[in-house]
Amino acid sequence: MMDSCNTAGDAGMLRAVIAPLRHWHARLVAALVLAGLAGGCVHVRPRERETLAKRAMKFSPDPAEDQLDLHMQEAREGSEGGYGTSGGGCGCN
Amino acid sequence: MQLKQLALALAVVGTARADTTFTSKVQVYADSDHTTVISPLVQGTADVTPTTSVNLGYVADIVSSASVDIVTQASPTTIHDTRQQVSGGFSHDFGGLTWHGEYLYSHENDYLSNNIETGIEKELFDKNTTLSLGYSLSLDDVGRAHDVNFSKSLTNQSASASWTQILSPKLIAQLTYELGNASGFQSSPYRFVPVRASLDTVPEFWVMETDPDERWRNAIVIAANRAVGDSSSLQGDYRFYFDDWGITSHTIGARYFFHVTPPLELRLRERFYTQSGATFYQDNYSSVQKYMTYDRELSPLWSETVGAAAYYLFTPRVEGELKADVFYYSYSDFPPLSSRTGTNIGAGVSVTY
Repeated sequence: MMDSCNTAGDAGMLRAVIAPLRHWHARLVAALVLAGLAGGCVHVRPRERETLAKRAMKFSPDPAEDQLDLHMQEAREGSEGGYGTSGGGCGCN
Repeated sequence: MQLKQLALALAVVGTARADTTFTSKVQVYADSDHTTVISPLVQGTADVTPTTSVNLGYVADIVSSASVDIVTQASPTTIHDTRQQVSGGFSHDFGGLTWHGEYLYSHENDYLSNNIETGIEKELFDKNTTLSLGYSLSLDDVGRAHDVNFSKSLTNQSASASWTQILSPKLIAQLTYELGNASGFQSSPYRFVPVRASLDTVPEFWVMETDPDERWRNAIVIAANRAVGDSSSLQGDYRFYFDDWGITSHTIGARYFFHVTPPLELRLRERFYTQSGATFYQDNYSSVQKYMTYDRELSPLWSETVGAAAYYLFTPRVEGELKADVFYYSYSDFPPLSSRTGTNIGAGVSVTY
């Protein structure tokens, strides 16, 4: 079975630390740090990761396709970043 | 010299004694705005030692376009262009810490790009947590066809941090932040902006597009993959993006994988995208201003993409794939074009030995 920490206690600690912080940036950073520490509490053993190893569970299951799609999207939209590399060149057609 | 280096790297791949994967694809993009792009791609990855792998790649974009972006200019024409890109990279595992790097060289008749990327990944808590850092630098030379005197430079840099967390045997999540900076010439050397009293009048004159030389981009992506049953999974992601040109965007993506039969896997996907326009974007300029653009990608827009792909395992080492996406873009404040539709169709094969 998967190990886990006391989630009720974690949530209480999260509220106790974040509540006194007034600025939303500070709250976000504190929440991420605490969530990171809580991440260490989740323990899925190697033998339980058969499903996670499948292609359909990967964040970039087809990197070559992602590269082609990102290059097309970045040439047609004003945003880029966060999804990996799209290659070089301008793609300005 | 570059060919010699490529041959040497290929020789290294050829001597690989562990897994070697070869992938070949072609995608054909066509839209209602008279643009067609054919993109062949080949990639090879080889484990040269138990802890080191190398990769090589080639991709081209063969473009034919008479888009509204081109035909509404002072000198309308149809363009034919080919971009070619070669890349080579490596990855080395130091035992829980992986270092990877890649070099990309992209060339077209009026644009040259040299790009290096590197990053590290550290596994923690018995591989339940993975932290990644990445950096990329692209040095670009921007030219203009039939104008040897036109030469501009553009430098792109980005740094990213990513945290991947296993949350259960069937759930994994990822949080990514990327900061990007572009410094240099960011306009199109071919795009001119009409100056006129109003949209329904004839342009008094045209001026070259002028975008700011500096741009800072921020992208935050949160993603999660959830297994559903024994043979399917659902993936979802959301990106919040903002930059100092005034563009804010939201991207929502979803993918559903499922096995129809053991060797046949299907993927359905959906992507929604919406953005605000750059602060200096106007649908019409009645006088010359510091920054002026006629770029629809800097105007408010939204898009929707739906698609499907099929992966078929012919043998345990040979897989074929077919894909088809249909997309729609809507421009609410770009007078020459209100929308465009199109398709992106692809086929490929992947061999592992």
